[in-house]
Amino acid sequence: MSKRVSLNRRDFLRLSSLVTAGVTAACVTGTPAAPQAVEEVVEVAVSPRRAEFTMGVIPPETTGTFYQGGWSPGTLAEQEQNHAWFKEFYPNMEFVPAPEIGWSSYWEQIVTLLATGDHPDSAMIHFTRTAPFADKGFMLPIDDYIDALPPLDWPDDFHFTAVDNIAYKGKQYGFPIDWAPRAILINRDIMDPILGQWPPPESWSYQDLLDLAIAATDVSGETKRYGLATGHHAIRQWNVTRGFGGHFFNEEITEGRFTEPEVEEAFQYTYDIMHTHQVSPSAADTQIFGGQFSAFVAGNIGMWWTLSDETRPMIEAVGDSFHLGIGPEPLGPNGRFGFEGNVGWFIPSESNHPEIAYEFMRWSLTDPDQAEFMSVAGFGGFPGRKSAGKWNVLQIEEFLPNYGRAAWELGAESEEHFPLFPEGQEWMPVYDQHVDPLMLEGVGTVKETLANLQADTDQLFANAVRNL
Amino acid sequence: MMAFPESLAPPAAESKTGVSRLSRSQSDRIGNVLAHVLLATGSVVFAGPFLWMVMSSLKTQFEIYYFPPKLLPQTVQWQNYMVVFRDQPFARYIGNSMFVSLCVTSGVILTSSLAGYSFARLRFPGRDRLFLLYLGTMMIPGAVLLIPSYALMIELGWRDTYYALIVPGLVSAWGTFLMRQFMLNIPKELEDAAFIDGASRLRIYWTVILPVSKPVIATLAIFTFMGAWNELLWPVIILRTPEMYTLPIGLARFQSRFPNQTPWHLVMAASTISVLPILILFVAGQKYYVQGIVTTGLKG
Repeated sequence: MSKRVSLNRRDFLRLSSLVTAGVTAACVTGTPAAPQAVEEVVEVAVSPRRAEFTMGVIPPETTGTFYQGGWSPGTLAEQEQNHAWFKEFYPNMEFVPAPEIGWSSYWEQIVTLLATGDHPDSAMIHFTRTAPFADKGFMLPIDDYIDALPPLDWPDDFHFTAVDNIAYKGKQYGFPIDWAPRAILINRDIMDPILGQWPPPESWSYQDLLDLAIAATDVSGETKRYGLATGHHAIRQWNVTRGFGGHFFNEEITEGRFTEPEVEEAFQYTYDIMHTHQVSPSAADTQIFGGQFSAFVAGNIGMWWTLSDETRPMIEAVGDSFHLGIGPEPLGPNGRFGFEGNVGWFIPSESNHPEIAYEFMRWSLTDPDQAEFMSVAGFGGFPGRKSAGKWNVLQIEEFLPNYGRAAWELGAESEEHFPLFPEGQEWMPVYDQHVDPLMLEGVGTVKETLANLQADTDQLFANAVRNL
Repeated sequence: MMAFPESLAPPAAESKTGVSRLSRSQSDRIGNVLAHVLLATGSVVFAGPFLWMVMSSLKTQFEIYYFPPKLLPQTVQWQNYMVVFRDQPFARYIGNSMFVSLCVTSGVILTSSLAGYSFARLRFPGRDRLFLLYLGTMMIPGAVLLIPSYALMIELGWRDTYYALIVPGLVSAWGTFLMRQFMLNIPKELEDAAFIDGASRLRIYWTVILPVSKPVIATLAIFTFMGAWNELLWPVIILRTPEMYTLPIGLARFQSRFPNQTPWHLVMAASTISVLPILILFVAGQKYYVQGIVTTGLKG
């Protein structure tokens, strides 16, 4: 006969109180030491590459912990590379990368660390945070370090837009991890008969794209087919606006310019795609598909106007289900504005090891061999170093000819990026608040929406306090 | 309308006016059937995401993107679970989460029951105002507390320790409120009898109040355990050492920093593993949990 094991009230309470008492006692009696850096100092054999990769100001015997804050320990292979670098140049230091977490958690984490002064030694940044962080003094300018030990072929062999996205008010604050231009992924099974030629013409215009999308859209059947999936978030819409010749802000970024005709034209163009011609899946349809990526993979979208770093996962996801192609960002009346954004590394101003952070960052993000590695094995997109992008192109063009021309070469045609300003984080929700109802639900008119956005933007800037 | 076999259907009663109407047992039965249909539909709706998670954990990466979606995998990919344990020290994360969650849950039960008893039964100046103040802390959004809490942990030297994960969670205003509400309903005569027998306040709390508070303790335990088990942001901020990572961090680590490169099949396998303890806890304490919700007025 089996005996029934049960935890009675008395046992439960006893157990609970014992555990709690134990924890409390442990807390009271002593604080556990945080993980210590390597205590045993290893005698360092100076690497012959030391002059090439370090500034020579920090002794190789240095001990301690190097904490790389941020959302990016990266792939296992990348982590191994990072550990190997420390082992070669600072073998007594322990390299501790932050856990890989999502963007939203990362932003709360990094802001908490920076605000409390417990800065990591280096950290990841999205370009939209450059101005807010620099303005609050959270970032260390690296210009002196660059002068002391510049990256090879600096700055000529680097995408200006990606580098300038981590600079503010004339100071460089970091190096780019990637450089992400936009492109148009194409379901050739749907689009080839409509396009009539392959590849699509490099000079295709916004209007051409809309005409093709209208021809490809068929929502009469049970399975709806859309010609073009696109987005309307601020940075994408800025690209289109520049294509039409408009600007979001004045040059000093102290006033909005949303009521100017070119801006209105650009927003009207996106609105027409979504509502007037309904060639893009609605918000509800996109939700059913599980997002634009899934909708495109499912074969229900002719063209997806997106970031080029979606290409690699898209090739894997589509497999043999349809013939995949790629086209460049189209030309607007004012030209082609294909660059959307990038991420990078920066050195927090209270970093315990700023020199080592610079050396590590310089190697990790600018060294030609490492840039090649990152281009192929590090992530899906192009690295900040121009010439290393070819490795990414070579790999992806095995599956997707025209990728290099459409995304890499034509994506670099413009050297403009989204404006950086310290109120960026406050402004983005203001933009969404006004533009989401218009683009997602078709509520209101473009003119009204932009007038309201203009008013709130100006109010935000009027109340802003800038330190730099 | 549901049809019943004739043999099961009771004879229809005659009304005073001679019009037949359903007998009480018949209408009860119909009501029961309707309730069951409604509840069954509800349970399918609620179980749907869970089922989807389990099924997706057995698919390949690309089956996840199929449209229209398919519930069942083409070939069951049991190895997803092995990959989860191979790619990350998941057993360690589970152990860490279990330790932290048990400590927090035990602590919250102890502190909340003591505080709840004090607010419900003891008379002291400013008691109700203090309680209101206590409740007021529930209005403060967690995000606002992040920076001061982190600064405090730095001050105490607790960054990257289990203490930082456990100690801030040991006191719960919500738990105190829950306990107080329950204890207000415990007959005072029980306490009076204990007083007459010469029991002290602490003795009464321990031998009289706690034994009859099992339902609310179970409710509080489940909610607290779930909260501690699922907490992501605080451990992400406070921890540095990979050996101390908790399960939600392990789950988050499967995410890719680049768009659409997250291995969702592995995320689903890891998620399935992570919900098991909660499921077991819920099943074990279900009786008390439901009772606790009913008796504390939580059901609204």
